[in-house]
Amino acid sequence: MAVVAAVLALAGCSGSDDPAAVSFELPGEVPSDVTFIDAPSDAPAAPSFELELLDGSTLDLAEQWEQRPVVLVFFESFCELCTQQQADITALSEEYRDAVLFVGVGSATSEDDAAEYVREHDIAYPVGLDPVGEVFRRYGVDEPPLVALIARGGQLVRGWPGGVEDLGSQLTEFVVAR
Amino acid sequence: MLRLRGRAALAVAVLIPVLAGCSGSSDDASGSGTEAGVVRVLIPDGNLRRLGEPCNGAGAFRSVHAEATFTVEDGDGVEVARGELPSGTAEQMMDVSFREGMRQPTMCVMDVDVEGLTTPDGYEFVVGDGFAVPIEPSDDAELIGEVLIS
Repeated sequence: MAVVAAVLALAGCSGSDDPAAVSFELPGEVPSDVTFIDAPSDAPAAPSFELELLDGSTLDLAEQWEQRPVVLVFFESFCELCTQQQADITALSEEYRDAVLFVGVGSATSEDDAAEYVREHDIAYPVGLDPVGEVFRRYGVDEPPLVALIARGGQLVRGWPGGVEDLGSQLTEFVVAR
Repeated sequence: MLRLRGRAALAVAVLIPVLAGCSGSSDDASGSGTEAGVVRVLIPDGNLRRLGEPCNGAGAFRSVHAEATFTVEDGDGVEVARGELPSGTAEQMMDVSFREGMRQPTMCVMDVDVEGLTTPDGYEFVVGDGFAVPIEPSDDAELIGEVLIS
């Protein structure tokens, strides 16, 4: 009997009672030694939106980018390129923890798969889902990954379909003075 | 290491094949019971990518992605196979020379294992948001057939 139960559990057909149990950290006070770079005067306004996070809370992006630059990371749990780039993004989100807010946005991914992705990649920044795809459309996301960089004040300064290999350099060039 | 004896081993031997194919499907119509043939799925989304990089369907084809469920149906609409799509690879879409490493219009190509399918004749590949496409013969002898999502 124990063997049968073990096989059922290993086969993964019994389902999980554990909901998408994840929690996120919002940045603290912006460090006093951080200086932000103003966006070019012709930079367009980033589309504002509210995002339902996996932990059940709601994040108002416009409130956030009034205080600090924001990096939007559009992803899907089944996206191999997203997975390949995630470690660098996670490391940068730690390095800029209180200076720049990183936000993950998925769409076709289920809540459980998104939560699993968050755990697998040690993501502490807020992650939410856009199941209807409205945010994806407004940011022109045809296929994740796409990384969008928003300056403090809410101007969209850069977007990288397919992701970006040198995001750290881009941050110091466009939004955070070093 | 887990060691199984007697009836326990028999129970596991019976259960594993059942559990491995939780959904199950009939494959009598396609001939062989367990062979897996490869169907090449072409997604002509024209998305800008680097050649050879991993991909999923883009734009109008976003529902055709890795882990999405597909079925194969016979001419009467009866499901003969079912599975999940793998990740695709970006391949050249038009015969234009772009600088090496530059992103260019591509299609996403997935090589999909379809258990039990030994011929493309009379079968449809059903996937994503209502895509149902005939499986066409392929010139590539290693493939059972090809599907152009449209």
